[in-house]
Amino acid sequence: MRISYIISTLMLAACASDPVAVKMSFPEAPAALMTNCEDLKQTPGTQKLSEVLSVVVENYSQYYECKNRADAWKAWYDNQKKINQSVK
Amino acid sequence: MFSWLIEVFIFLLPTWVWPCMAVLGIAGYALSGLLATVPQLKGHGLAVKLACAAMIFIGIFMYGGAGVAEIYQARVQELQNKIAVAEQASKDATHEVQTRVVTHTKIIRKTKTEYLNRIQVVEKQLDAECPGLALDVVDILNKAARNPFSDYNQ
Repeated sequence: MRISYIISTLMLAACASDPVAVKMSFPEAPAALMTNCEDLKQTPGTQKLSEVLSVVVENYSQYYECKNRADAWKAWYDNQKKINQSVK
Repeated sequence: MFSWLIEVFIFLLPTWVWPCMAVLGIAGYALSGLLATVPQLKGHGLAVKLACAAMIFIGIFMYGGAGVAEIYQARVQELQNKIAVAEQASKDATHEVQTRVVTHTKIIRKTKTEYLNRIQVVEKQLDAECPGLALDVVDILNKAARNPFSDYNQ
């Protein structure tokens, strides 16, 4: 009789250990972050200070564009990580 | 295959079928003793008992399975709801980052144009005050600006 109770209990438990097969899809990164940082511009062979200065300004600007994207990548990752960890 | 077959039965039939089956099995098992009193059915007593025992076990097993399936479905639903909320939050966060990057890039480019315009304004004056810039200046600047990994990233 006892054995039949145990068997019944085990049967009622059935396959309770199965994991829930639901997954969150991997988020798409913002399109603006998908471009690579370009190399800095080279100054053409010149003796004009204005031309050299222009390339310097262009390169500064390029650096900040790249920094902007790198910072955004980090912010995006931190946010997504937080969101992903909230689903558990 | 076996678990798939069980799942099909669990989802196709309503839950109440299984306890009914078990109860019928118990009743049949209890009444199978009466078969011995009927001379024509006397020989079938064991077969009926076995069939009823099978009904009891299948009924209990499937009832357990149905209960677990309900819990499982509830967990799946709960998780799906959480994921839907999280996916929306993820999209919003992505959109926010996208907007910020685009806005910042515009500001950076606007600043660049501003300074390039300023250079154009003082171009003649600059070139007149510093005529014949040493070529070493350009060379040093170019070498410093060169990506040191450009040779290795091919």
